[in-house]
Order: sequence, then structure tokens, then C-alpha cells
Amino acid sequence: MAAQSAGGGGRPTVRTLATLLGPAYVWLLLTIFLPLSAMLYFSFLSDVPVGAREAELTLENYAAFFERDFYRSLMLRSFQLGAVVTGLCLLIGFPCAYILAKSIKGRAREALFLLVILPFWTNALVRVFSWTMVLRGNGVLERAVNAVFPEVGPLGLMFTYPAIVVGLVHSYLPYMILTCYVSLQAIDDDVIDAARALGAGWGTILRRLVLPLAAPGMIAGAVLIFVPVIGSFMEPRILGGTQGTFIGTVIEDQFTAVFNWPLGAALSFLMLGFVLALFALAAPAFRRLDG
Amino acid sequence: MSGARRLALLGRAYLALVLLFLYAPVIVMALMSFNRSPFYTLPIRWTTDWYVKLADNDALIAAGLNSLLIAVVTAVLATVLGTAAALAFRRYDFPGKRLLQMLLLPPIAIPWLIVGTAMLVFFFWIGLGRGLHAMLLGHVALALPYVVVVVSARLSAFNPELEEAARVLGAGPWQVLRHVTLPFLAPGLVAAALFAFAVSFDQFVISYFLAVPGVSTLPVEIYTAIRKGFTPEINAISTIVIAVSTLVLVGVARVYRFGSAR
Amino acid sequence: MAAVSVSGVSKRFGPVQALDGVSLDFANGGFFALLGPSGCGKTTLLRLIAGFDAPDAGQIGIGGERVDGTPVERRNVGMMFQSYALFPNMTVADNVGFGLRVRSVPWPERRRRVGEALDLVHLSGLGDRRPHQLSGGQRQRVALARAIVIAPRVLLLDEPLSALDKALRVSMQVELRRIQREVGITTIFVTHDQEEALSLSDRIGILRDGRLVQEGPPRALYERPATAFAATFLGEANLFAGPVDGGRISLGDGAALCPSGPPDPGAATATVAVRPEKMRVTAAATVPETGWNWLDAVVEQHIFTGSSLTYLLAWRGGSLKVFEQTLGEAVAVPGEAVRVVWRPEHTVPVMP
Repeated sequence: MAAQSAGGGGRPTVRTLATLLGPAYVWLLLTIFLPLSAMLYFSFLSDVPVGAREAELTLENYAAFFERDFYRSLMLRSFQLGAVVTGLCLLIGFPCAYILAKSIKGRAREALFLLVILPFWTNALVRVFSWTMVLRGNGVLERAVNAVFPEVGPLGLMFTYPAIVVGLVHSYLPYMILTCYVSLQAIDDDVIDAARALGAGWGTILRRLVLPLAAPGMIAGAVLIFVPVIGSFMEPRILGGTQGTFIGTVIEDQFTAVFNWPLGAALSFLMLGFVLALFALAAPAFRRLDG
Repeated sequence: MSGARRLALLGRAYLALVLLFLYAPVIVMALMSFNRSPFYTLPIRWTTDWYVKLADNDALIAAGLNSLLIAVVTAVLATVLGTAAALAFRRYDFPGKRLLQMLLLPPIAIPWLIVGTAMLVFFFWIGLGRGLHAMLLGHVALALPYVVVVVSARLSAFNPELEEAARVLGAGPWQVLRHVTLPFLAPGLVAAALFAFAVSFDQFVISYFLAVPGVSTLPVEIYTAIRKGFTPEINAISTIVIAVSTLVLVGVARVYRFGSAR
Repeated sequence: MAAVSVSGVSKRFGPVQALDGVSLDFANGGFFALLGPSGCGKTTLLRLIAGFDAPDAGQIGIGGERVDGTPVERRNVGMMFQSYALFPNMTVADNVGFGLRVRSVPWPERRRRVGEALDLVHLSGLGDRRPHQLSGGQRQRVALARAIVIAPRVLLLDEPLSALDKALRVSMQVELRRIQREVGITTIFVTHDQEEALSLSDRIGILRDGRLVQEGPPRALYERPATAFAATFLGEANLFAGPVDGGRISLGDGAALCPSGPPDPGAATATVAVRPEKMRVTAAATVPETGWNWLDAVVEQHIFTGSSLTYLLAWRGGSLKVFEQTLGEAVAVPGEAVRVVWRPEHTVPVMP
């Protein structure tokens, strides 16, 4: 009887598995894994192998990145943007998740939680666009500020780096609140009470108990925000204007404007590679946080 | 007032600020879509002209219909494929199970920019090209992992003895599925389908790379319009888009109740 | 003819040999308990009879008919699960009627039989409730009604009482026995609770590590355990082991025990088991009756439990247990040297 687990004890036939899993994974193979492999292959080509064009294997596309300051500084700029946005999301989102998980109870909590994460599933493009209504010259924010402090004058926020940051934080904040909330909710209130009974102050409880226990959620949130922010191109274009050149927009250009697919592919994989390298470097710190 | 109460009040105020940050821009946008002035001057002079104008915008309407079509088909396909996979994961142990579960991550974790351009390159290369069919392929792939997660969560609360009890009582595999497993899964399936619908309906990046002029979706059309210049018409259509996905998600919440301590 | 017969059945799950050559016949109309510690294979045997798994070797017959190739749903057996497994989306009546529904029994007959089954378990009137509106005991009755309404050839119970609290468990035991007698259905009952097995069943099979240790009526199993494990798992026992010397078991120092029957003739050493209630504590140096076994020990502790008294005695670095009825006689105190005596027929040779 010990040999039977709750649900995983069965020994399926290959046919059963193929019927249940086959369609989903063939689909993913065709739309995710083969395309990524094809793109990797393209990144080593000298040209797009279409029609009469001759393409040969080359490392040129990767070399271009290391030879030209332009791409390197853009990559750095994108990573900085990712760090700033992730940091702000953590700073704003963690307290929010804590209040939701520990200070508000019952139906109110459920409703508020829903309100907080609802925007995440609504249209990201539209939400970014909605900031143009707020930030633009003579927009809502500028008028509100000037109504109180007439001497401020034009804010000039639209098409700036801060505008991009605000839009991205707005886009990804719910993710951080969600992941932090899940890990904070898992902390038994008795544990915190026990620490208080033992004489721990709030600072100690936060540093020694809450933060370590919530670390998995914070890390998950950070990863889930950092990666897509680095690959963002729509947000910088809408809110950044001429200030909105990042590695993401350059990659997009290679595919939609310049038609240098091999270079775009190489830049994409370099971006992925740097992200993975960064995570590998940060892994020991993550593990320590994880306790 | 005690310190604890003051702290709790402060917490609520902070929460209100965050919600303001999250919702204010969208609300401003929605209000502006009812503003007569094309230059967004205040105070608002009310009108529904911009919505009426939408009715004449054939490109937007075509794109809207495309969006709906793709979202509905994606919801159905992703729910069927994802539920089958979730059932296999819940029911059986087999070599490679962990790997297959890990393979659900890339569609979520790799930036859409890369996934989208990769699809563009690959579909172009094998002669599949761009268009509605290509967008559908991509949307289902992105929605699949979410469906597996949502359905698996529901399945994990399922007592496998229920199926065994039904079989002992004489029910064949299909009767077990119809009378026992599916009725239990139903809320999870509805939630998963609505989720998949939302993922597809709001998807911009993948559609952007796979759209062809004349055949696109609402987000792509909106983006193109934004790049040309802001007009209140965009506000109107954007407001509609947000309203649709909000309604769908409130539906998800009603059948699924995430956020509650289960 | 046996209602269910199991012959030479083995089953392996990966590295675990869950069942190893088990043969058992379950008599028609009997109430049979499969008893053993967790992991002994008793649930596996039940699931093989039900048809959830197929044996690696051996045969299973139900009603004189081999069922190896028959899927669960066509075996016509009733089964009650540990969790009761009531369908949460159906009412009580729909739960009970499910087996009839998938058998396409027409509605009027279905309703009549469901009503009868609910009467039998004293739940008439609750047919419209949902499982979550019932108490633990009520759920269990629904599960039982659902299992027997299809008139199964055999009723399989997988630790059906383990989820109930003690008081309810005892009353459900009585109830279960009553219903089983009324319906007259062959019942196989898996449990790890030896008291439950003793008080409920006609016959008990003790399983250990996938093998059948011993099988028989409760009384016979208790009085004549075949192995040291059977002796200690079903009730309590003091075990003595020593070299065989002229039909007696030598304990050294000249002491020797006379067993109830001759020990294994070929063996150089033998083990015997003695039930604690068969032993008597007497004053030191009491001369035992002729032929009785005796030994000298020191009282370590005595525990008063109302109707009886438990002595824990120190004997040669080990400890013995003796139950005595409280008849108001003098009680030996801790530290006191005593002589323990008992009849040779209560000295049962067992396999070690």
C-alpha cells in the first residue's frame, strides 16, 4: 500500500501519454522550440537565406556586438533600466503585498488583491498608452501640479527616461505584488507572534523572519520583471520617443525595418546569454536569501 | 488612537495610493475618450462622438473581429490541449515528466520580443508566412502554460479515489470522465479558458511580428495608430479593450476565486 | 465454494515487493479481516481483487470465475474507500444510485433500491443532501449504501473506520456487522487495528511484508499464533527462546519451560509465546502446581487500570508483562521478588 501515491502511481501506456501530451508538446515544438532553434541558426548566418541570396556560416553578427560600442552601451542601458524598474517594483510592491497579506482580512483582502493584480491581465499596450494622457504636455499631471504650484510651469515628462520607467513600473508592479503576496501569505502568523513573544522588535522580525521567508517570492518577482523589461520595445517607443532607444528597440528594428535578421537574432541570444550569466552570478546571493 | 491602529490606517492609505497609481491613468484615458476636444482640453465637454466614429473605422472593426476570433479559438484549443497535458501530469509518473513540465516555462519566461521574432523567422523560413493562422499558432503556445497551471491547481484538489469509486460502481472510462472528473474540473476549465482568452485578446508583441498589413489585431492597430499620433479615437477603442478584458477577468475571479487562502 | 479465491498472487511496485505468493480463500457470506502493519500489502491485495491493478503472478477468482482480464467496472464488486470518495457534485441519492444509473437500471426501480439502501443504513430522508452537509458517520453510511446497492459479489472495505473518532468507530463496527449479516454479503475488510479485526470478523488473515503469516478464526489465531510476529501483533505476548532439551526449552540456570506441544523436532532452539493474562504472579518461592511452568522475576512497576492490573517484571535484563484481574488480593510492590507461574498448555511454540 505504501507503493501507491495519491495520484501518480499509475503506469501509463506510451499510447495514453502520447494522446494526452502529444498535441500540446507538438504545438510547443512547432511554435516555440523549433523557432528558437531556427533563430539560433540564423544568428550564425551572413545573410537571410531567401531566394538567390547566398548565406554562409559566420561569427560576424556576434563579433559586431563586441566591436561596436553602440550595442554594448545599449545593452548596458537596458540592463540598467531593468535594474531600476525591478528595484522600484520591489520597493513599492513588497510593502503593498505585506499589508494585503498580514493587515487586511477576509473578503476585503480578496477584493483588494483582485483589484491589484487585475491590471496585469488587461492590455499592457493600452495601459502604457494611457500614461501618455497623464504625462503629456498640458496633460492631467501637469495641470494638477500647476493648479497647486503655479510657478512650476511645464514638467516636460513625456518622451523622457523617467516616463519609460514610470510606464514599466506600472506595467510590472502587479507581478511583484502577486509573488510577494503568495510567499507572505504562507508565513504562519503564529511564527511572527512567537518572535514577538520572545521579545523581538519589528526591525528584527522583518530582517530575520519576514524577509528571509518572503525571499523566494521576491526573487521570483524580480526575475519575472527583469527579463521582460530588458526585452521591452513597445513601452520605450510610446513613452520614450527619441529617448527610447534600448537593445529591445534595436532588435525590433532588425526584424521590421532594417531586415538584418541574423544580427537581430545574434543580439537576441546575446541578451538571453547575459541575462542567464547575471542569474548565474546572482545565484549564490539568491541561495543565501533563500535561507 | 493606538500605535497599531495608526499603522493599520497608514497601511490602508498606502494601498490606496498604489491602487491610484495603477488605475488613475486608465481612468483618465477612459474619461478623455468622452471629451469633445481632440486636444484633451479640460474641463471635459461630454460626447460619445469618438465611439460613433469607431463604427466607421473599417480597419479597426476588422482588427477587432480578428482579435475576438483568435481569442475564442485560442481559448478552446489551449484549454483542450492544456487540460489533456495537466491530466497526464497529475495521473501518471513517467520518465521525462520533470523535463516536460520545465518546457512549459520558456513561453512564459523568454521575452516575447525574442519568441515573436523567432516565430517570424521560422514561419517565414518554412513557408508558413504571417497572418491570422500564424498569430493563432503563437497565441495558443503562449496560453498553454497558463492553462496547465490553472487546471493542475484544480486537479490537485481532486481525490483520485473518486474515479476509482466510480469505476468500481461500474462506470467505464468515458462515464467516469463525464460524471465525475469533468463536473469537478468544470470551474477550473472555465477559468482556464477565460485566462487563455485574456492572454490572446491582450497579446500585442507576438501579433505585431506576425501581422500582415490589412490582417491584424486590435492591439496592433492601436499601436500603429499611436505611432501615427494620439487621437481620442484611440482612447475610445482602448477603453473598450480594457473593459472587455476586465469583464473577462472578473469572470475568472468569480469561478476561480484566486487570492483566497485555499 | 469460495466467494473469492486468491492463489499464488505476487505484485511488485518498483523496488517494493508488495505481495509475495499469497493464497487465500474467502468463504461465501463470511466477514474476513486482512490485518497487518502499514506496508504489509493488505491494501494492495484488496486493490488486486477490485481490479485496480493486475497481479504479476497468480490468479484471482470471484464467484468461481477467473477475473484476470476483467476490468474494474465489470467485476461487480462493492468497495468502500478510506476517504469514502463520495461524489461532491451529486446528492446522497444520486451517489447511492450512481452504480445503478451506469447499469441503466430504469428510474422507478432505481429509486426503490436507493430508498431501500438508505433505509438499511438508517439514512432515509437525507437523500437530497449533499455530501458536505453530512457528518463523518453519515458519510460513511452513504458510502456503504452506495457500495451494496448494486448487489455486488463481494464487499471490499479499505480501513473504512479509520477516519472516525473512537466512540463513533465502536458504534459503526456494530452497525457494519449488522448490515453485513442482514445482506449476507461476503466482506473483506482491511485494517491495521487488531481489536477491530478480532471483534468484527469471522476469520482473520495476518499479512507481513507481502506474505500471509497466518489465517484462521480470531479465537484460534489468538490462542495458537504460528509465529512470534502473529503473537505480538494480535494481542500481547511474552516470548522465550532457548535450546531444546528433551522436549523442554532450556532457559539456562537449570530453568526450563514445558511447551504445549512438541517443538519442531529438527530444530536445536525453539521460541514460545505466553499471553500476559495466562500468567500469575505469586509470592517468591511458592511451589508451583505439578507440571506448571515457572520463573522468578522482580516487580518493576504495577499499573492499575480498573478491572485489571498490569505488572511489568524485570527478568534477566529483559521485561515481562502480566495481566491480573483485580480480585482484591495482595498486590506485589515494586522491588519485590516474585514467582510467575502458568500452565504448560499456554506455552505456545511459535516460529521465531
